[in-house]
Amino acid sequence: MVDEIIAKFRIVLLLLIILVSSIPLATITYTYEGQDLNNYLNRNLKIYILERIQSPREIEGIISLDEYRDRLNHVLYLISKDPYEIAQNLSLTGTTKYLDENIMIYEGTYKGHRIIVALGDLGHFMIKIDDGETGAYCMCNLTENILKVTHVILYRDMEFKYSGQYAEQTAVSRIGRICNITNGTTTCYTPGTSEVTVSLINPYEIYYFYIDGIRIEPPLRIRCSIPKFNDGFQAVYVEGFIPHKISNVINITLTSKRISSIVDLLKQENIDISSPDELVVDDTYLVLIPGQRLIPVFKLRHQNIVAWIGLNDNETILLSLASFTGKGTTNTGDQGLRIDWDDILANASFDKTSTRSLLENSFTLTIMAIIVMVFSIIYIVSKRRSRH
Amino acid sequence: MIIRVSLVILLCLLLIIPMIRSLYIIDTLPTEYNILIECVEDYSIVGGTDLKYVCDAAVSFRNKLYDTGKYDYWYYSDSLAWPSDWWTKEVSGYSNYPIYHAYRQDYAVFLGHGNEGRFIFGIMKTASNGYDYSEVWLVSKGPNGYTWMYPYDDNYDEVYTRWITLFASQVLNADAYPNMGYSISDVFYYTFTNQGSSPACLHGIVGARTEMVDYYKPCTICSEVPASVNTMNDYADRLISGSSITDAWFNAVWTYNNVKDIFGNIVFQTSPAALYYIVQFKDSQGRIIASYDYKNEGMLGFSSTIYPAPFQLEPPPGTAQIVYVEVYLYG
Repeated sequence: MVDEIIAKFRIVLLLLIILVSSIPLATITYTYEGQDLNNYLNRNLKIYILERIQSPREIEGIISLDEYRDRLNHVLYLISKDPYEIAQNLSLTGTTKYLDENIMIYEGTYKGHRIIVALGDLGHFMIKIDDGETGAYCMCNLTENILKVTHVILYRDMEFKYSGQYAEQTAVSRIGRICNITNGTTTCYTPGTSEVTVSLINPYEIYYFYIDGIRIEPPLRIRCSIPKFNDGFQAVYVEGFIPHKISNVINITLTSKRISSIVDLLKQENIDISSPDELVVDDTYLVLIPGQRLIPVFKLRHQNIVAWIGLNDNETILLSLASFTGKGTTNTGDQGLRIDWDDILANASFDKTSTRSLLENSFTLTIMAIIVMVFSIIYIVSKRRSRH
Repeated sequence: MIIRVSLVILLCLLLIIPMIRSLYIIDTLPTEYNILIECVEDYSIVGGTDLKYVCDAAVSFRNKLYDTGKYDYWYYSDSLAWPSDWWTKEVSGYSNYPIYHAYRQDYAVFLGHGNEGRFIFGIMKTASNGYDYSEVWLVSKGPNGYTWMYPYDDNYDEVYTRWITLFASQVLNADAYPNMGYSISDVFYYTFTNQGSSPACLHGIVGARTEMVDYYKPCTICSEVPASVNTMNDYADRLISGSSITDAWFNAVWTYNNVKDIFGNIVFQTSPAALYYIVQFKDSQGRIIASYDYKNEGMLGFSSTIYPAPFQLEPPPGTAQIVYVEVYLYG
C-alpha cells in the first residue's frame, strides 16, 4: 500500500519536473566587453524563484520520500562511484542557516576518512573528505553527461561550462642564473633558454551553471583525486550551488527608469557620476538572495570604484561597493563569488531532533521491555497456579 | 628696506624647505632596523582618483613595528612621498642616495595606486634625464629607464632593501606583462639584478596580482570596512609573531583584503603575489648539497630565519655550481 503511494508521488513529482522544465525561457546573450550601462537599456532579465527540498517530516506517512537523502546521494556521485555506500555511513548531526536557506549537516566515517557534507534546501552544498586536500590530484573534466549521472536536473536553456583550473597557490619558477665554480674560480652566466616550471599547490577546478546565458554564482569548485590512491574517492572537496528546482520566473526589463535608479543609488554613495554612460558593466551574474530567488547582479565600475547592484523585481539593491588601489580596469584572477563554509559550519547547532528521536526510541523500547517482562511474569505465575 | 627684509625671509624659506621633509621623521632612540613607509591618498596633482584609507593603514602598520622598539622609520604621505625615493638613477644634486631613500633601509613599503609593473605617486619628480615622472617601474619602461629601481648596498654599510611590500593593484600581474613587452622574469632582470649585470641584493617583493581593496561598503546603511587597514594590521601582527614575509602577506591578504556583499559572500578576493629566489648549491654530480628558499625568510628582529643577500650566501665545501631559481608565487 505504502509502495503504491510512493510510486504515485514519484509520478506526480516527475510530471511537476517536466512541467517546470518546459516553461518557455528565452535565451539572452550578454557581452562583457566593458560596455557602459546605457547599452543595456531595454534589456530583458529574469528573476528565478526557487523551490525548497522537501523534508521527510513534511509529508505525513511517507517517510521514504526523503528529498534530502536523494539529494545527498546525488551530490555524493561527485566524489564516488558508490555514493549509497558512503551515504549509509553518514548521519545528520547538525543544522544551520545561510540567509534563509536551511542547511543540513551530515557527518560520518568511510574507509577511515572523515566525511562532512553540508546540504542546503535551495541548492548550496559542500563535501569535504578529511581536510579536503590530496597528494594524488587529477583533473576532473566534468561534463554535462557526468552531471546527468548525478541526477542533477539541467533545466531548459541551462548549461554547464568549465571555467578553469586554479590553485590555492601557484609557483612559477625558472633558472635565472647559473654560476660554475672550478678550482676556486666562479663563472656565471644566464641560460639562454630556461624551462619554466609551474607548480600548483592544492589545485581545483571551477565549473559554472548558466541559465539563459547568465552564469549562476557561486560556481562548482571541485578538487578531484586519483581514486586508486584515495580509497576510491574521485574528489576530496566540492562546494557549489545547483538550484534545486525553479518554480517560477519573473521577467523584468532594464528600463530607463530602472537605469536612473541605479545611477541615483550610486550618487547617494558619493560616487561622482551624472549619467549611466559613466558606468562600465564589468560583469553580470545570478545570485541567491533571501526570498528563495535568484536575481541578476550587475558589477559596475567607475574609475577605481566598483559597485555590485542586485535587481529585484521592484527594487534596486546595493549589494556592495568597493574602492581599489588601481584603475579598476581588470580584476584578473577573479574566481567568482564564494560563501564562507567554515563560518557556516562553525555556527551550526547540534541536531537535537536526531538525539530526541534516539531517546524517544530508547524510551519506547524500555516501556516495551517492561510490558513484556510484566506479561511474562503474569504468564509464568498463571502457569504455576494451573499446575497446582 | 621692506624689499630687503622680504628677500632675506624668502632666502631663509628656500633654505628651510628642503629640510622640512627630513624633519618629518620622528626622532627616536637608536633602534636596530629601519623601514621606509610611503603612502598616497591624494592623487589630485597627477590627475588620479583619490584613495581613502591607505595612509591610515600605513600609519597603523608603522606604529605596530615601532612599538616593538626594534624599528625606526621614515614615513611620508601624499606630496611628501616621492617616486625618486625609489629610483635607481640619482636625482640631480645628490652624489649618493639620501638617508631616507628606499635603498638605505632594511625594508620598504608603498601603499597607493598601482598598475602592471609599476606603482604610482601623487606628485611628479624630475628624473636625471630632466623629465618629470610620478611612477616607479619594476622594469625599464621603453627607452627611458630613469624610473626603475634596483635596490643595492650603495655605501657598503650592509644595509640595503631586503624586501619590498607593495600595497598597490596589479604591480605583480604576470598575465599583463606581455602587454608591455615584458615577462615577470624581467623584474628579476631589472629590479633584482640591475639589468642582469649585478648580483641580487633584494631578497623579494610582495604585492598583488589583481586589484587590491582600499575599502568596501556592503550596503547603503552599512559602515565602510577599511580593508587596507585591516590587511596591514594583520600583516604587521604576523610579521612580529615571526611568520615568514610571504606567509604573513599571503595570509593577511587572504583574510582581510576582499570585498563582501550584504549577505557576507566574498564577491572579490585579492590575489597576493611574491617574487623571490631559491638558491641551490650543487656538487659536481648535480646533487643539491644546500638550498635557501627565501619564501621562508622572516623579518629582522622577529624571525630566526634570516638569510644574507642571495649573492652573499656562502657556498658549502664541495660546491661546483650555484643555481639561482627565480620564483613567482601567487595565490
